[in-house]
Amino acid sequence: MTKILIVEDDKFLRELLVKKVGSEGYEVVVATNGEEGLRMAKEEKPKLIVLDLILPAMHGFEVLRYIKEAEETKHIPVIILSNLGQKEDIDKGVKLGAKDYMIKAHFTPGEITEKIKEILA
Amino acid sequence: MKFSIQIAVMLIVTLLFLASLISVYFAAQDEQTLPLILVAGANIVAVILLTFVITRGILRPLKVIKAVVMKVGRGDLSLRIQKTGAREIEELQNAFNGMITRVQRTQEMKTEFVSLAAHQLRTPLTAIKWSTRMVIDGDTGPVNKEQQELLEKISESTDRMIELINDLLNVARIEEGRYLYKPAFAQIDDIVKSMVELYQDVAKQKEVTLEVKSLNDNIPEVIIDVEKIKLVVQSLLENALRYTPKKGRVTVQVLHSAKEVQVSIEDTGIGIPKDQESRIFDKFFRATNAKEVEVNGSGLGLYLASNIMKAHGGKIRFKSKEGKGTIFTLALPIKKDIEEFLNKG
Repeated sequence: MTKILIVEDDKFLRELLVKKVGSEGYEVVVATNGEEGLRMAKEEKPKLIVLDLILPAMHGFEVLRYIKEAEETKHIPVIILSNLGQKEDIDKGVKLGAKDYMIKAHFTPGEITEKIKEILA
Repeated sequence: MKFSIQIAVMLIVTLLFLASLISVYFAAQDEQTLPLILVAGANIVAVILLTFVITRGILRPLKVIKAVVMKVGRGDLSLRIQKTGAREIEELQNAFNGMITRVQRTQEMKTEFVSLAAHQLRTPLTAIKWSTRMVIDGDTGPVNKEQQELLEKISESTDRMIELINDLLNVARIEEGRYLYKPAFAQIDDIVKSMVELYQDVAKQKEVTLEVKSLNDNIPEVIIDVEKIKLVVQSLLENALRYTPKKGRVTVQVLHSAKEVQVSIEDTGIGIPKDQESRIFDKFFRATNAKEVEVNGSGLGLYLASNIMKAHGGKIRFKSKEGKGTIFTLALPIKKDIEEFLNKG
């Protein structure tokens, strides 16, 4: 089963995403803060990471920077999923190597799952 | 020069009093002409001095105060009164400057609050949107038609709320001076054409003809922040479609002169009532007939649009006839380089 790591601190949103992504036949592992997310990216070797930005312990941009610097994780595609939606944020995310940038409030779980499928296809 | 009016007037009165005393003394010695000349001379000097005191100390500084107060009243809270004139006037100036500072601080706190509240609302709204959508999509089992319809209403309302919050955050950014502009050369006619394409479905649903007409060839490039100008065009297109009844028409045109490129969006909609024309760019303002047609709407679209156009050194104008239609025109100046844009912005 293809493993997806979801890094999201909001319990409610996390549960909804896990349910939706899980129902599409992916194995979902979760992290609830930035540090944990980075650790799990290395240990779990997911095929794709969905990453929130405003996270406890470590900001999502930091997590992304480390993921893209480390040899063992830099190939993993990362989708930023955040409610920060200013052009500066999006530009920064893309520059740091995110595969896609999705604004939470503008997409549905179905559309997010579609994006995951598209990237993994 | 710092002086007190009170002291100045006291000095002048003392001078007059002394002159009178001297004249009385001479009058007592029966010398007729000198005291008269002395009193007259003292009076002339007193009048000159009083005039000087009043203009320098009161009238001139009052003029300065009036000019600043008028501008502050119109909303420019960055101004402060330059201190001139008498000490009494200076106290007034200090008090007034303190007052503007406090108003400014209150404004800032209000903007911070809006910004924070709006941002905090996004997460729970996302949760509502996602849960509703998952139920509609059947992720929790089948839904009947009636349930589906109600869920769609929740979903639509949530999307509206999200849009409202986006608008509020943009307003807060403008007011905090955090609304950054990224100027680049762009072909405005291409942008307008692609935006009109995006709205064809909405137009069809509403049975309104939406078209781009008679584009000038060779529209010159303009320096704009593309995302923000798109926001302006989007607002105008959405308004035009929202307030134009069935079988109506929305016509978009791009023209240019030597100095500027103009985008006009004309509709055959409900129009803007004459008595409300001066207020349509005000924050949160919605015309009475607009509220009747459409309950939803933040009243922020045109406020944002006019701010964005101002930052581009451009203009937004309109002509309207209630019940007949409205034409909005955006005018963007043609500038040679980005440097020039930033200076104007």
